[in-house]
This record gives sequence, structure tokens and C-alpha cells, in this order.
Amino acid sequence: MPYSIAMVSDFFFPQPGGVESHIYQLSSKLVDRGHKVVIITHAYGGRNGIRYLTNGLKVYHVPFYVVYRETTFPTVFSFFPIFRNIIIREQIDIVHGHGSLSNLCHEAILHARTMGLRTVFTDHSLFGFADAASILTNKLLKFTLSDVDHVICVSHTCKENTVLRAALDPLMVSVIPNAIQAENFRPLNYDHRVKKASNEFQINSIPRRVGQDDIITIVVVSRLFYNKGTDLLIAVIPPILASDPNVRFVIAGSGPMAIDLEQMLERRVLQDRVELLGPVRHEEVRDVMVRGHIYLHPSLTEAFGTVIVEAASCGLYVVCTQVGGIPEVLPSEMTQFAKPEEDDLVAATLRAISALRNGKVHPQRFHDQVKAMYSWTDVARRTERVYHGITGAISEQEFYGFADEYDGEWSATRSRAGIQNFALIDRLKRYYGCGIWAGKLFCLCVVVDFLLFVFLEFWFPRAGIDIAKNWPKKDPTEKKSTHSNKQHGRLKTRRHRSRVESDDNSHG
Amino acid sequence: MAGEQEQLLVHVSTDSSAEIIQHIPIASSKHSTAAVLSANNEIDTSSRTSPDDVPSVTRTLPKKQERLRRQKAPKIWKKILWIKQSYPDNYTDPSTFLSHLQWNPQIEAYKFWPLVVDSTVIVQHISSVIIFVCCFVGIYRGRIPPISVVGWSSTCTFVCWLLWDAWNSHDERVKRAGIQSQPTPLAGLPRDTDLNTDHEIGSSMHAGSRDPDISMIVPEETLSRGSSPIPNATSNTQSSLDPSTTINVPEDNISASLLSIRQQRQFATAKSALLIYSALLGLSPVLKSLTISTTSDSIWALSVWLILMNVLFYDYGGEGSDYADSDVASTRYPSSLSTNAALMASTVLASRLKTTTHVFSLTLFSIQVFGLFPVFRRHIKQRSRLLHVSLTILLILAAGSGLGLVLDDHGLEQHTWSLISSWRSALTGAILWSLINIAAMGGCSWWLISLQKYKNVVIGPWDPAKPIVRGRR
Repeated sequence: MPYSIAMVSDFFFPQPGGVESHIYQLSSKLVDRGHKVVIITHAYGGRNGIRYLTNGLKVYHVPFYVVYRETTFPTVFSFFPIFRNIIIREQIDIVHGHGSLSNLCHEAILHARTMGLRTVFTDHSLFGFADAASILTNKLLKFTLSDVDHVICVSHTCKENTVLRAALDPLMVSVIPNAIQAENFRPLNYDHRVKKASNEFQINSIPRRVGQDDIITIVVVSRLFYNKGTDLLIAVIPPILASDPNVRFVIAGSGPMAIDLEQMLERRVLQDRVELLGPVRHEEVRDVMVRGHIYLHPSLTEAFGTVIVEAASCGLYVVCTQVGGIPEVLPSEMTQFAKPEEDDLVAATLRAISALRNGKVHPQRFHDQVKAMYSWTDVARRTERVYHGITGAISEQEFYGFADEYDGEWSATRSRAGIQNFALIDRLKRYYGCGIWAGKLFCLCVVVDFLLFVFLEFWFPRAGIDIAKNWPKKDPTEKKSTHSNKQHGRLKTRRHRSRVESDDNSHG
Repeated sequence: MAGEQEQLLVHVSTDSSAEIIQHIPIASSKHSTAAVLSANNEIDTSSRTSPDDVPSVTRTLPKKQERLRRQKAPKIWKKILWIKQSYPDNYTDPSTFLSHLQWNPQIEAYKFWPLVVDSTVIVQHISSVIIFVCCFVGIYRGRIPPISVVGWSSTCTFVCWLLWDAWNSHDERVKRAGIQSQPTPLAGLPRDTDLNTDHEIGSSMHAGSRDPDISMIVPEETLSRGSSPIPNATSNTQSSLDPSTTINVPEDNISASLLSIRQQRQFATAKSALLIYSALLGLSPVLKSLTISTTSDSIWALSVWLILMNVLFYDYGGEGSDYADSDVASTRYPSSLSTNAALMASTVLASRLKTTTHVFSLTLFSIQVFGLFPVFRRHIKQRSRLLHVSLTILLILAAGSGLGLVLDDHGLEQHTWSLISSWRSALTGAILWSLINIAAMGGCSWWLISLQKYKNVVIGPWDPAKPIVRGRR
């Protein structure tokens, strides 16, 4: 049974980033699986109103005041009227929010529960428990996730973190990793036919067997922020270069710590061996990566680390710090792990260099292996199972399986895994457990939200809201040109200020 | 979907027992012998209900998934993402879930008496501030002649300085003996932040060998700077007053003996003291008329705020910037802010006084109390526990009697200031203030200890790692 899904997040294209591309890729794969997906985000500059992306993916850019880092100003209720309008207009069944820093997503989950919809939340990031910003975000997350049907995390570490932060039943948290579009991250001389071809052919097509004295290039693609480990990067470059004369660095990315990096290079006079590329666009990342043999990832915290998967897919041997969810992402034959310490990272890089020189690793096979590991189609299939579970399409017993066995094992559990009741009193019970003061405050918010809902139902009755026509689905058997399809949809939705956008270049 | 599942269930239940037995060793190898021994019908249930050893999946997965697991090679769930495991996405492995969580990992249990001893630093500072305020009130009301105040305090300062100087030269001698016993010549001077304590010759040697490019500084200077147990704490306060002390160590003095260096330092200190003295003398008439157009109320309010600032931002850490890690703390709350606030308070307070002598005396007194005395207190704390405690008691008693005198004196006629009544009020004040202090020190320490049970630090792999980088430069 196809669902109508609304993806809600503050973060979406044209802004680049991991959450953004996750939403886009997941949505388009869900559309391919026959579901209807709309994306709700805030207005980006002049990009206001409704836009269409490939395959009839409809994006609502809701005009909202952006307060910090593309996050909208948190007004708990002001999003409700327009949100209700969109939900009714698009006949949405499931609201899927992304990103724990996205205010829009939190509000949408609250309102969706008030309206009696199923909700899913995907967490993309890790948070500590100590600093003030984390404490605020965690409280807000606890509020939102008090009454959510299911939560998706991108790694097991992320799941542990989210379960702790929001005091959830671990059974209602699924782990579905990110993925990459492997065809966008091919090695330099990759040939499709290699797989089918004979052995000699394969050997011919391997150009990059590294000899003992060949130049090895280490690639770093990272925003130069503190938590991306730029300190470590600055510290490890000189010893690595000093210990092997045939090593070069290519560093792409910009950020506040770029100046420190440049100063280090100037002081040590390493400009001829370290190339700084500055900021690169996401679609150029592959072209940068294939210039190297080793990818160095000195990050200090990472929920999933898509970039190391991309690097491995490009045929690079990965050296990374063992933090966050990174150890779960790639098998040990593709990576050298290091502690986030200067000496250990240098040692790991040197190990990687010698492994490459001695032919102990086979980066030319990485692409096919990674392709088999991560694909968005798989992510969409697994997400669909979550949708089945929360809507009751697969039975509670099968979805949560062993729920009754662990009764009382997790003391932090407030909301039990299972089909969440929509009754206001049950919802209030769930919110009340958030804290001595916070619980009462949250209950107040929920009650006001409910009253607002009743008022909206009365003032703008459902009968007065037009139902948007669905994008004409392509029949899989029928061969239709996409162009005519788009034209057709455009005519049908002329009421909106719509524009068809080709996304192939800007979102790959 | 449901039909298929039922079919599978039927299939499982009609499976021959042999097949089940065949699979049990895989599902639960530890229980296999027990399972085989028991009756065929019970095998399934026994493998399901065995509490600990069986991987919990076996007993908890619904039959379809269990069946699936049996058909494929059953694998232990792993905390990895790159292979597709035969477990559902929301599977939670009880043995690994949150296994890296650390709860209150580095908590140090406070003990009562060390806390009380540490709190003496705060008590000392507050008491000395109170002494200053009481002296001001006394001078302002005309109870105490300002010259006697500044005379006594100057005498004390001089004695303290003699003591400090003697200790320093003693340390230098000890250190010099230590260095001369070293077989290798002093190769280099570590960076200032690497100078730890007066005993750390070995470590500073080690640090020096790490930075060979800073090795052109003469060994004698190493002695004179490194041997002072509070080199930066001294320079912190003194450099604002007399920058010559630390900077003017002459480079050409390589062959000079230790004594001459000490004399030189004494001379520099005397010079800067003279400089301050004459500068204050010259400035006093200006200071006197500084706030003549401002009402006294504003001055009282302003000085209360400034003294509060002094108390709040004072560097109670004690060790100053001797330690490399306290660098951060001292840059965040610079102790110069505290000192400057106090000096400004004393300046505006002094401007309320009647004559130039009054103004001069109070300002000089404030420099001694707020600028030099903290350095000495810090030094004493490092030096000897006994002296530290007795100084604390002395300060508390002095502050208490000062408070008693000031509060009991209603500012009426001069002749009510009789000797006996003032002694009585001083004694009462001292006793009361000591009691308050003891209660506060004990009570606050006990409170802090009792609050420790609410401490809840959760650390896990999701926290940003702290990069360990050698030589942050």
C-alpha cells in the first residue's frame, strides 16, 4: 500500500549537506517504490512556494524567519495553520522529520500527532550531554520524541545516543545507515565491464598499483572546523611528510581553521607538497578524491561519516579516527583506524602507506564492495518497513518482535514501543514524564496545540481546502518520456507557482 | 503476508525433530548437550526458555525470523553497518547496547577537610577586602589617622618582602646545587609555561631538549626565573606595578654571582617601590578632586560593585599561571580584572577623603592590600600549611574586630570612643565573624559533598573526542 509521506526539515537544497542529500535521495527512492512524497522546508532566499524536483518530488518552501544556521525561529504554534493546510491538501499519512537541530521538524511532529498522523524522526547527528546547547537541544528532542511513532538513526552509536537523550524505548529506534550513489563515486579508470571480463582484462585495467617509490597522495576533504579534527590534521601533516619523501597532500574544504592550516604550511615551508584546493562543490568531490591513494579523515565526532564511504567507493584506502559511528561504517580491510591522537594517527597513516606500497590492500576492489554495502534503494526499502510497522501493515508482534520480553529492562523507558495511541489523555501522559517543570510546560503546549487544531478545524474547515492532484505516476511498463510527463504535471498544478527543476547537476 | 507466515509456522512445527536437533547446536552451542538429552518435544522450548546462555534472539524473535535465521547460517549480531544482518533494524542487542557508556567516569569524591582547607583561600581574600573597607570607614570617619594605617601596612609589606626574598634566595641556592650536580650542561630553557614547580628540574631539562631552538638564553637567567616558585604570579601583579623586576635581568651578567643577581633584584624592587611612591604622591591632589562633582551615594554604589567584582573575579585557583593548564582559566577570568576593579574602587573611595595625605595613604594601602598581598598569600600557601592557616586565622580575627568596631561605632560624638567599649565591640565582632566563617566553610563544604549525589556525567562514543596533539604550536 503506497503511503503519502511528508518529509519535514529545515535543511534542504539549495543548501548542501548530508541531511539535505539524505532527504532527497530517500525521497526519490521512495517515489520510485510507488509512494507519494512531499518535502516541507523553509524558504531559501527567493526560493519560496512550491517547487518540483525530478520524478514529481514536490517541495514546499514555507516562508519562515531563519534565526541561526538555516534553522527557523522556534515559535511552537505558528507553523500549524500552513502545515495543516499542506497535510490536508496532500492527503499525508506519515510525517517524517529530519535533523534534531531542525525546529521545523520538531513542530511538524507535534502538530502531526495532534492531527492524528503517524510520525517518524530521523536523527543524523550526535550530541553530548554536558554543554548548554546540548542540554537545550536534548530537552527539545525529549519533548518531540515523547510522542513519536518511530525513530531512525544512521548508526548504532547514534541510536545509543538518541535513546539516552530522549529516553526512548530502544525497540522503537531503528538503525538505517546513510548510503551513497555509488555511480557518482567511481574510481578513475573504472570500467563497468571489469566485473564480467576475464582475469587478464582486470589486471590490465588496474593502473594504480603503487610501487615502492611512487608518489602517494593523501586526500582530505573536510570542512575545516574544530570538530572535524583540523587540529589533528595540522599536527599530523609535518611528521607524515617528514617520514616519507614521496607523499603529497591534497586538502579540499574551507572553514574557520583554514588560516591555521595555511600558517602551518608557511612556517614549515610545505607549500610544494601540500595542495590546498579551497572549497569544492559536492559533485566535484569525486574528482578530487580520485587524485589520491589514501583518504585521511581526522574527525573528532561523526554520526555516520558518509565521506569515508564515498572515499572508499572512489578506491581510496581510508585512514580515520575511531570516533562516533565511524568504526561501524567500513570493514577493516578498507580502513586503518587510529585513536584521535597525533602520534597514533601518524602511525596509522604510515601503516596505510606501507600497506599500499607492499600491495597488501586492493583499493581497486573497493568500489564494487561499497556498492554492495550501501545503496539508497536499500535504505528506502528499510524505511518502508518502518512505515509498515507504524501504520500497522505488519503486525506489532512482528515489527517490535520481542517487545514483551524486555519489559522493565530499560529504566529510562517512558514511551513503550508499539502502536502509539492518539487519545489526548494518553499523549499528555507521555509528555508529562519529561520532567518536573518541563513535563507540565510540554503538556500545556500540547493542550494549546490541540485547541488550536480545534479552532482551525472550525475556522478553516477541511471541506474548504483543495486536494492537490497527484503527480501522474509513470507506469513501469509504459515507456514515456520524462519531458512530456513534466509538462503534464505542470499543467495540472498551474495553480501553484511551480517550476520544474532539473536536479541532475546540482544534487548529485 | 499473514498467510505466508502461518504456512511458515506450520512448517516449523511439523519439521522433524531431527532437523531441530541439527540446528540447535548452532543456535545455542552451550546448551546443545542438555537439549539433546531432553525429550524431543521439549527441545524447542528448552532452547527458548534457557535464560542466559542462549543468544536472546532465539527466544525472542518471532517464528518467521527465527526460521529465516535457521535457514541462513545464523550469525551473532554485530555492531556494524556494512553487512546486511538477518536481524530487524530495530533489533537491540542487550550485550552490546550502551556497552561503551561510562557513567561518572572521572568523579573524584570530595573529602570534608581538604575542602575546608581549600576554602580558606576565599576566606582570606574576603577578610582582607573587609579589612580594607573597615580601614577606609575608619579613616573617613576620622577614627584612625591615615598615616598610622599606611605606616603599619608598609611595615608589614616590608617584612613580608624580606621573608619572600629570603625564601627565594634559599630556593635558588637549592636549585643551583641541584643543577651543578647534573652531569650535562644546561642545554636550553623551556618555554615559560613549561616551568612547573621549583622541584621540576628534570622535567624542564626534558622540555628543553624538545625545543632545542630556544637554547640561546643564558643559564643564569634560567636560574633566576625558573627558581622562583611563583614566577608568573609575581610578574602578573608586579609587572603592572614595576615591570623592571622581571624584565631588567641583565643579559651581560653571565659571570655574575648569585648574590649580585639577588641584589640587583632587590635594587629593582626598591626602585619600583620608590617610583610608585612618588607617582602616588604626585597624583594624590588630582585624585582628591577627581569625583568632587559626584554625590557620595553614587560613589558608595560604584565602589560596592567594584569590590564585588574584585571578589567574584579574583583568581582563587591560587597557583596562578604556574601550571600550563591554568593558562586557559587565567585568560578567561584575568586576575588583572579583579585587581583593577579593586584599585578603581579604592581610587574613587579615596577621592571622598579630606586631605591629600588621606588620599595618598588610602591609595598606597589599597595597592598593598590588593596588589601585593595576594601574591604573598599565594606564596605562603605553597610554602607552609601552618603559616597559611595561622594567616587565615589572623585575617579572620582582624576582619572581625574591624567589622565590630565599624558597626558598633554609630558615628556620634568623638568622646564615645572609649577604649573599653571599643575592645568589647572588637572582641564581639571577631568572635561573631569567626563563627560565621567556620559555619560557612563547614556548611558549604558539606553542602558541596551532599550535592555530589546529583552528579550525573554520561560519557560515550558520541562525545567529541579530545584530540591529543603534542606541542600545541
